[in-house]
Amino acid sequence: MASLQATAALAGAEISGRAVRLGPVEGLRLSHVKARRLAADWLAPDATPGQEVGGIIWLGPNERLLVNQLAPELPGDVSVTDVSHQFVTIGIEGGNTQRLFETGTAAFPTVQGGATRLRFGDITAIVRKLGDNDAQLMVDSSISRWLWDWLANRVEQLGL
Amino acid sequence: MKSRLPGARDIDPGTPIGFTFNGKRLQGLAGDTVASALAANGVSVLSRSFKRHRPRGLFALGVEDTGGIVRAGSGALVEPNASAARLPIVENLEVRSQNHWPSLELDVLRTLDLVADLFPAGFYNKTFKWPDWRWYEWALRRTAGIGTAPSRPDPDAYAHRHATVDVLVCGGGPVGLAAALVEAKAGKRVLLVEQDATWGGSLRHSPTTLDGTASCIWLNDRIREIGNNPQVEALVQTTAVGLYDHNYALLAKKGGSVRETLIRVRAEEILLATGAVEQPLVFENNDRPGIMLLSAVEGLAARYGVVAGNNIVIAGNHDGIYASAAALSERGLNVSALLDARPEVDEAVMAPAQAAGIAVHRGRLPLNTKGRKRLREISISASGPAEGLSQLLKCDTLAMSGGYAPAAHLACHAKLPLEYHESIAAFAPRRLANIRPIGAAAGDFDLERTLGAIALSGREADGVNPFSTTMGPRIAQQGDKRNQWVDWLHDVTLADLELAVRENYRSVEHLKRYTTNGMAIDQGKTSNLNALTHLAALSEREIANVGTTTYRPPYAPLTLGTIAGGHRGEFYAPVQRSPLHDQQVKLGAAFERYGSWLRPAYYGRGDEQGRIHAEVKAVREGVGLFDGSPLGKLEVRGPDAAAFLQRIYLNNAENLKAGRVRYGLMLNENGTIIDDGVFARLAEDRFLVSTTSGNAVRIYNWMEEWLQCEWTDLNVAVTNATTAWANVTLAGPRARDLLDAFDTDIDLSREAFPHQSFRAGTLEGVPARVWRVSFSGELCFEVNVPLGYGPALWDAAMDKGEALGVKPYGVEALMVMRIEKGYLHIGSDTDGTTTPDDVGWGRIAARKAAHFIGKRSLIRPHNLRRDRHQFIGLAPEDGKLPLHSGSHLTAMGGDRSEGYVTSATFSPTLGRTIGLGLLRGGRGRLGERIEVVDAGKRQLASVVDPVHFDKTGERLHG
Repeated sequence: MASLQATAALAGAEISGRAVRLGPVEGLRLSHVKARRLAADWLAPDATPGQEVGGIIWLGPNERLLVNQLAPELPGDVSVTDVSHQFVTIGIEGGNTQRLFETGTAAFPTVQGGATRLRFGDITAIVRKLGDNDAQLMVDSSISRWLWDWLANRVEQLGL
Repeated sequence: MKSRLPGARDIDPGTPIGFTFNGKRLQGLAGDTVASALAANGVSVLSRSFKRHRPRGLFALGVEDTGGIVRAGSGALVEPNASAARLPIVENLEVRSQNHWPSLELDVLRTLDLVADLFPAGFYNKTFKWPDWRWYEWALRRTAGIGTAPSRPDPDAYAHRHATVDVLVCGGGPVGLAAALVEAKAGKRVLLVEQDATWGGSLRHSPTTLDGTASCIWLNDRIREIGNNPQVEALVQTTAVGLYDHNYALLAKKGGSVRETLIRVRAEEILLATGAVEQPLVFENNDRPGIMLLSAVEGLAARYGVVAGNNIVIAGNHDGIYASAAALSERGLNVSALLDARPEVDEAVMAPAQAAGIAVHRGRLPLNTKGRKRLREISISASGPAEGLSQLLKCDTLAMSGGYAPAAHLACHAKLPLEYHESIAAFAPRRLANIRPIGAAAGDFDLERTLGAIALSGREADGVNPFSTTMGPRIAQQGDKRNQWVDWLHDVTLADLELAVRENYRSVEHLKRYTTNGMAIDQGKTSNLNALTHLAALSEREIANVGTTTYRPPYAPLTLGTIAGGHRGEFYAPVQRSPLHDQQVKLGAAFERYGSWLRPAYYGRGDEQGRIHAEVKAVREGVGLFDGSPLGKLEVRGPDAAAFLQRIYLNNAENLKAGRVRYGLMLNENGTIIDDGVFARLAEDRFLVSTTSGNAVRIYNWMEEWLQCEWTDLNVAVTNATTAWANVTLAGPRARDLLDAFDTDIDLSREAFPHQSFRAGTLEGVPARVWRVSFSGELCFEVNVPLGYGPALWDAAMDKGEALGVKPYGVEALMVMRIEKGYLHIGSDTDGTTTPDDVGWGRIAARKAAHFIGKRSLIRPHNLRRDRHQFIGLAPEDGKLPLHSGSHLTAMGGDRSEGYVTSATFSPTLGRTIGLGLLRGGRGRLGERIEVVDAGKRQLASVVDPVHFDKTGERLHG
């Protein structure tokens, strides 16, 4: 039993009462899978670029992110890293979701289930499009507070 | 304010708006621009010219205007160099003219016009040389430039936006509107943008009939249709300022919830419906207030109900001026005469103007003008070289039209080829597959035909269709060339062009740069064509063979705020925060940026040095707590992990045993040190690499590049886990005592867990990775736990350490301690040339038989020189005097720099100033007295071993 208690990043942060709602998404278990070469059948069903399939996001030919998925039995030379603590996930919902994303990226997925790693403003982030007006932004924990403040500033300035 | 003509399209006569111009209260109407409101108030002079300080008035109503460059707003909201022609008036707007002293009416610098011969093209290359350019430089620089930037920060908000569309239509005139609708009906996502505040383009000032209906009705129908079509996003006050590769466009949008927005557009297809720019005529004193483009006179009347002048003369070189003259006359303006440069004109073309009672003078252009602050009269002549004066015409307004040149700027940005067409006496762009100029922008001036083709097939008509049966000359070619303006904004005259050609600047690109013609904020919209025409005549070439210069972005000026967007202040650049940030805030940390990380420099406020020294003392005598979370943490896994690190590091990785840690230097291909750090072996196929805090991403990318591009045979995967773990560093002789207070399955004894080793286990029930490495020179444990547990671990360490007198210490205290220990700090103690041998690692490098990056470069002759800058310690003779990084090192009495101080501090441990440096042949000069030169001041120092404190490392191994 751990005597140290974990602290969630952005705990208590929330933007609501507007056409876009933002808040941290807690409890996601994220695993980063990487190898010199990833055989397709190691991660079945395999993800395709730009699309999340079965909780697997394609990050590169030899790289995947597993969202709430247990990593299957993989060969020993495949590196599986628990990055649940490394990423902070911000949920963004509402009619102005796309407009908010447009302030930082041109590559916001156009279809539901779209997921990709991209440049959002000046940072690298992973975007998941869960519905028409429902998306998640996964960012490095060290940058999450700055990004949150930046998003809040954009929401305020643009009246989203 | 004068009374307005009825039926003006853009204004609301029932809504007056007050504003000031140079402090004088004036009144305009809602919908007015500053230019139209000033014209309505009879203000003729809006500014002074750039070089000669000539009075300048309204010239055009669009982005091509050259006379209405003003300062708008007040205080922090002031916008210099705003275009009066495009700036809507708002209640209490303050507008001031620019570029004069002491006032617009009485500008002392107007005297420059009297000595204009001293300022010809390229004058700064050949005048003001004697006795010394610097005698004049100050005054010339003071008078150069236009406008004054606000001195206070802009409080307004700006934004950036990305848009991805199927079709971007630039231009909201009739062609752009029609094309956008056709594309949208075909199911495409369309972004339609118009630089002005209103739709309609040329239709707004030149009413006509389209599809058998009045243009205003046609226009309203299209606007309504577009508003109802969800496939179209239509934006006014949005200017396409640049086109780039792969159909990437930049748009500058004014207004909305923020002051301005920069929109980055990726479009499958771009339609350029940017219309055409009316061209001016060139004759003597063609820059007086009251001389403007014909479209400006038409626009003032049609859009704003403003009569440009009481007595208007129209001058031009094409058929269209007759219809315009008749229309203006019909609208109630007094058009007294019309000058046509062409001697032969079809009677049917002239008929409307003649029927309106306007005196028509064929074969004539203005020769000269008079009037100080407003045009008073013009003299006219036949447009041949041998003809003399024939007549004086009294007038206060000269509306000139030298035809229309397709607005090819955006096409030029996208590298569409331009071709000269005699029929329009202008260049028109050819189309590419996915960037298509349409309508007047392509040289097709038959609007009905273009609209018909668009409606029929969704495609525009092919080819150039002239707006006139014939074209006459634009340049009078008579009179004093020194006062015949080609570029109004940069005060470039025909004489300047001729001087450039005489001096053999005959290439159009050379001419442009020598004279600065077309290099002002209008990017040559009204100056390039006339300059090219004159250059062709001077060099006896066809215009088509003269070529064109390159139009560059931005198409129209945009503010720095637009470019910056939201990237200001705290949002200027991303800031990384440690997971322990809130803990440091509670402890009163003074934060500073170290690279992209915000970290505690020291704790508390005031007496910075005292606080840093107290932190050092706490660590040296007891135990200190440091937030080391930003340290890079790269996981290297795979069967070839050891072989990979063997190549990456100068130090041997393959013989490192599991659980052990090794210090390593990383070199680039030139043998230069790029990073240092430690790496631990966790298992046969698994390593952890700890990089410097600021270099984690860079080194990760460096490793990826080698793996992906060079060493594709190695079966290794590298993962950057820097921010997956929080790092709480315990340092000091009581560090083990503090860590012992935690429940852990790791044996922390000196024997079981020696210096430079690594253990993984649990601490208070959570996974822990503990390094025994030290950058302070003290017994040290770097405890890493999954990020979320970091705050709890820090708090627990502070609690448990209270009895031990634990204190947090910041980056500055760590820096003091590492200087005391003579530890390298990459980037401070190394530069872009430092090799391992320079810092004492030459023998290690030479002994390593295996290949590593940079190895081959280490034996280059230059890298083997004995007089290279080598890492040394410095002990100032007066230990109380400060030593500054960057100070030069010289031999005693020498005046040649032989190195420099790389790091320096007052050591609270030793009670004196100490330093580190790079000194030529330094290792062979230990014990030598040298001089340290800092901004002219000299002090004596001894060259010593870099390790100032605990030379045996006893404390480190405690």
